Amino acid sequence: MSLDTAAIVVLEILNSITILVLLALGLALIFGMMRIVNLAQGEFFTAGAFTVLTAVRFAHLPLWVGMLLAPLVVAGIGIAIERLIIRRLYGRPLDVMLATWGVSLLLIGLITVIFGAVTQGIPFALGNFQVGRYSYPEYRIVMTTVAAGLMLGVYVLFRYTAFGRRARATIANPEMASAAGINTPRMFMLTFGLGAGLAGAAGAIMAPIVGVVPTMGVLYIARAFITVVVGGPVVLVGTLSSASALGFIEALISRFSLFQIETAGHCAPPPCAINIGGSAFFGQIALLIFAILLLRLLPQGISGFWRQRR
Amino acid sequence: MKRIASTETLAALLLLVPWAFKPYTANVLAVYMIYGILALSLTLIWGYAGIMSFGQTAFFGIGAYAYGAIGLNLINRTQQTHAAVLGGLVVAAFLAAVVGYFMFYGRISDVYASIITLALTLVLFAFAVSTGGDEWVIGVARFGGFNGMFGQGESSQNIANFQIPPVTVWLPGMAQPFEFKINRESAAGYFLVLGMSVVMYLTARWLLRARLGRVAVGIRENEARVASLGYDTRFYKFALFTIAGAIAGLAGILFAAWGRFVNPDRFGLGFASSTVVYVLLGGRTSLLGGFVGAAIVGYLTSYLAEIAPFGTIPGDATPWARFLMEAGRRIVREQGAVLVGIVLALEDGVTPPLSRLLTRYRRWAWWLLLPAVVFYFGQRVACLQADVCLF
Repeated sequence: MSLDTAAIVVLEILNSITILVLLALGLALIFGMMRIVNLAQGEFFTAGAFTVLTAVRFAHLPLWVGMLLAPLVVAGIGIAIERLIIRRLYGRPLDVMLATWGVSLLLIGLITVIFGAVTQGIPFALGNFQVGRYSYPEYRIVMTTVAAGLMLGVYVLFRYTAFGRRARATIANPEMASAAGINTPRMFMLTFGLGAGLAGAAGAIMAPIVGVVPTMGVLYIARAFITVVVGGPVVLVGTLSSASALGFIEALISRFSLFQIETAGHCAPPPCAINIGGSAFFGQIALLIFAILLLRLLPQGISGFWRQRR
Repeated sequence: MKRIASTETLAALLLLVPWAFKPYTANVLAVYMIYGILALSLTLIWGYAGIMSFGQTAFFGIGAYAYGAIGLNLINRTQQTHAAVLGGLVVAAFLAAVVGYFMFYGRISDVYASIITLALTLVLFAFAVSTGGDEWVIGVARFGGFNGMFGQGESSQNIANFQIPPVTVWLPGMAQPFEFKINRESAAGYFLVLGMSVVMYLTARWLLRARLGRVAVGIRENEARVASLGYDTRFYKFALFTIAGAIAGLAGILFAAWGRFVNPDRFGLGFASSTVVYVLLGGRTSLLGGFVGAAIVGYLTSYLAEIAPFGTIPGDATPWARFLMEAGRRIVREQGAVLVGIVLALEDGVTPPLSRLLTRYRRWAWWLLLPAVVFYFGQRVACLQADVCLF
């Protein structure tokens, strides 16, 4: 393998990891801090993308304004849903899961009614740069930077601010926190809103490189959940480590063809064969299989395993 | 004893249905029962072992695809589909066993199990959708991507393509193969589905009476205590999950044979949510619940699709009215609101309260049969007059 190919593969692995981090961060926050499986997270992602679309297409704002607006709008939606539905179901994890699933179907329906079931693109101005014989989109580097920034932001927020201390106290022991004068329902609400906002940000960042369509969340939700499950209970470390492991596998399998299976179909150029590996779809399959194998070995997820070891 | 009696009455009534109704009605009832079998498998694993599985539709779809692939290859050579039915069951059970092994022997928590089964369904959907190309072929069976599975004729020019066969039996000693179809001449397909529903219902009831089911209920209530009594909870969960997967696979086989068609929608999120709604609405702790839920939801969605705001939006509606109608239609069709509503309001579904009512007013319950009988013979007369009856 020549040097530029190697560089491109490294960049693609980085890109896979970035996408997984973006998708999983908000979900991991909600799951890790509140023990809620939020199946509407994919639609928060979609809502973020559609906020950008609305801002750019209909309000004629610059792209970056739309991207800053998206997390705020989606955090608002998240807080509304927490107050209306999820608040009534704390302590019933399975019912929360079903209710958020219903919310997700409702949101898909609502967005379809408003925007129609068509795929729309968002134009942007960045070009490509050269790596030896290959050209690579600059926007992906921007995405990686933003993902790193979001992770750093979440770390600082929970480690060094008063809100972060109260939120962690609420998670660790709600009754004690409540006795110490922390408004725990408010903390849950804000944490959920933050998780939703992060999903909105992810949707906004990824909107220009994917087709914006009401069902887009469904395409990503499986990968996001797998990343969170493999990551385990510690939010940031878990997300980053599992995104790295899974992103590595996904990028490699999507890039390289493993083997071929000849079939008896009627193909236009006669040898009819299925390539295993070498497409994005097989990357996803490999990701799922690898995740299931990993969970057999580390049932608590990667970060749970490290926590046990210490 | 009371419950058994009511179940058997219901089954006996369903036996009489095709005599009075059009083939259309028999077809619709058959698909409700097929969805009911699928819902039964979810009830078994969710209601009794406490493991919420979004993946029952994955096993359903895999069973359907496997039946289709084997059936298409067999039908023109051997004129029967015994091996296809068996193959569909084996493939579905095998997939469930593999996934179940990794989930339960890895001792991952129940919430993780739900997520993994959901991811499995979604990945299978992505897989089924991406098989549109000419190279995705097993023998003569083409996957066909979004268009669904079909048998490929001799050339690539769509000549002599053919559909998935119905369940066809040709045992030694039979003069010719027997097809389980539903049309004007025969209701055999309907009786096959009804028979399978009854068999699966009885199997599930027997399982729950046996050691497996009692341990499963124990696991639902308190897994640590069951484990401390010396039961290997991993094995019991694994076994029940595999059996539920096989039952879902059987429903898939019946579905593929009933519609003579299967496409990636069976792996879709919409179908997965419908299945959960069937079980939730019917009641997750009642084995009949899934059938009741499937019938209610199926009837309501097809009935609502015919009336004004939900079926056709009038052309002269103002934009706002059109928007509201469209929104209402989506809410009803996609069942999101139903799901949220049931979770918030109706925890046990409708079957337990219904059967409580029936038990309390047992003496009067028989009067309910009177309008049913009148309706039944009314239908018989109507279809005789229109000359569309089955027999």
